[in-house]
Amino acid sequence: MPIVFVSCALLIYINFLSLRIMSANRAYINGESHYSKGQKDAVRHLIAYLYNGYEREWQSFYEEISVPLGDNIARKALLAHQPDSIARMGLTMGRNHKDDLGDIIWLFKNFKWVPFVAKAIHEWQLADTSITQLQMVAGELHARRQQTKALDSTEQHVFFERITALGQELTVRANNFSNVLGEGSRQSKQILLYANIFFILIIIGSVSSYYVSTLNNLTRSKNEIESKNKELLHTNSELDRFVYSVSHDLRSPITSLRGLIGITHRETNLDQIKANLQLMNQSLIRQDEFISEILDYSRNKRQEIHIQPVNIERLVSEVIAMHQHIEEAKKISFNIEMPVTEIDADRARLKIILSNVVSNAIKYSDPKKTHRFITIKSFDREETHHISVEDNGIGISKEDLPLVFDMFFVTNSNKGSGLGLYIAKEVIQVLNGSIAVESEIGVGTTFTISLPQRYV
Amino acid sequence: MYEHYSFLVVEDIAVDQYIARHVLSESLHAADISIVNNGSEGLDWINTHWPRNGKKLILLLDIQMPVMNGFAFLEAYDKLPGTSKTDTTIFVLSSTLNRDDIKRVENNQYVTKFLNKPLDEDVLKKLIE
Repeated sequence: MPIVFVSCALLIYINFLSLRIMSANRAYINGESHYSKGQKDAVRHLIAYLYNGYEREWQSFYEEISVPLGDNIARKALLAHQPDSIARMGLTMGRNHKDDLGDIIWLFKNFKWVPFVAKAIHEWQLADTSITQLQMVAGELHARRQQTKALDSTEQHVFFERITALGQELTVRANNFSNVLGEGSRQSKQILLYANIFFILIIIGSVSSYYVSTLNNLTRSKNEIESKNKELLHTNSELDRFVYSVSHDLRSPITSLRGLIGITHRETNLDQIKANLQLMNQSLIRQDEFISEILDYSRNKRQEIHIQPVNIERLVSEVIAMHQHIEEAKKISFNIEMPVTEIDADRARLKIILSNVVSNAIKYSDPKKTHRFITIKSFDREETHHISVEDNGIGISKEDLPLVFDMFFVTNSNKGSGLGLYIAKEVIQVLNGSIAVESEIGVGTTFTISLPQRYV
Repeated sequence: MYEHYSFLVVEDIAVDQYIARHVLSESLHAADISIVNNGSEGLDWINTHWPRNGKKLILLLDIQMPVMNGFAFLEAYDKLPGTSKTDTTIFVLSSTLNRDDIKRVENNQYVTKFLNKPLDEDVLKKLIE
């Protein structure tokens, strides 16, 4: 864009300049015609004086010759860098219009180096030399006239020859002067035309390229907005599904509870009432777990990642202790094998991941096995930290294995909401890590969590 | 009182299975109660146990279940031979508040009524009469 402003400014300046040059040119040609007329009239009066000797003619000669002489004074003053007032005085003597004086002086001062102006000034100077000579001849003639009343015809002829020769020379100079100026103004007109075309083309070019780039930017932002929109639509439909399932899963334990209250009302057997209370408790635990899961999910989306040194041995012990309230947990032996005890990680997020994996290992332990175990190991491989959670639980079938990380995927609604492993996967993605699962039905399952050793 | 009826509860949540069984056996004094965990098990049950001579089947169907949900069950049920559908009344029993789901259930030709959980013995008694 700056190029357009510069071009516009230059265009305005050049057009202003050309107007002033044209105006000055016209003033020069006008001045030249006064100069020429003055000189011709002076020659005419001088020749008349030569033959009739009337003092009136001599006076007229002096009046007329003062026109080129005035211009001569102005030219010399300008060349000698004398004050403008002298040049103005001379030009006024040269019968130039007072409004043209400024332009004439301005062009002379600023453009005397330009070839055609220099050439015109040179012609002017030559004419001035001839004017000086004419003045000298006139002086001689006037002196002779003072001495003798009548000149003989030979002397008259000699004077006539000298005067006409100077007159002719002056006519040539005057013609040259106007021709040079005329040619110069035609050339300047041409140059100015090209300059105008050049700058207008630059302006049009810049404006069009600006237009094109703006259009491109608009297209790009439009595409970006469209892809963003697609993403948002996807997120929105995921959210819809989430809200749909959450509203059901949040309500489900409440309706169970109301059902239990209903049947307990009519129950008189105390043991049965106690059993019902136990079931109510289970429903509440289920709902409580679900709410924690939703909170974990939302925290993962909102909270900033906070990497710090984490003692994973201690973290794993905490996670196991968290799940000791589950009846099954008491029947399982936990083994911790941690050669790598401290890693850089986001502690809160790592806890969510481990908790979900360990909780699954406990819930899906195999009651048919006499020795139930869960083994948690840490190891480093290929610049990555790995934590594996291995169990000898019921295992996952081949068909279900690819689905275990899907949102709300469950094989048995009584064991969970289907959010746990989905959240674990979401959280580990935020940490630039990954989670993998291997399983054999009836044998057991191993989840492996992989985390980068360094966070940039 | 309900000796001519068989009851089939298709329900995944253990507590809700317990409640259904309790309401049916204690309040309605029904004797023939079967409980399965999902739609797929429900189809298996119909294929092996239905029809039964001189008996009417009351089917209580949940919507949200793993493996095969209530809607998938109804689609599969549509393809069963006519004899498997004789003397059968289906009630959908769910905790959903989703209007689209409820409308979908009510528009199904095999469903007699949509019921909100928890199962209410009086409502059920009235419907069976």
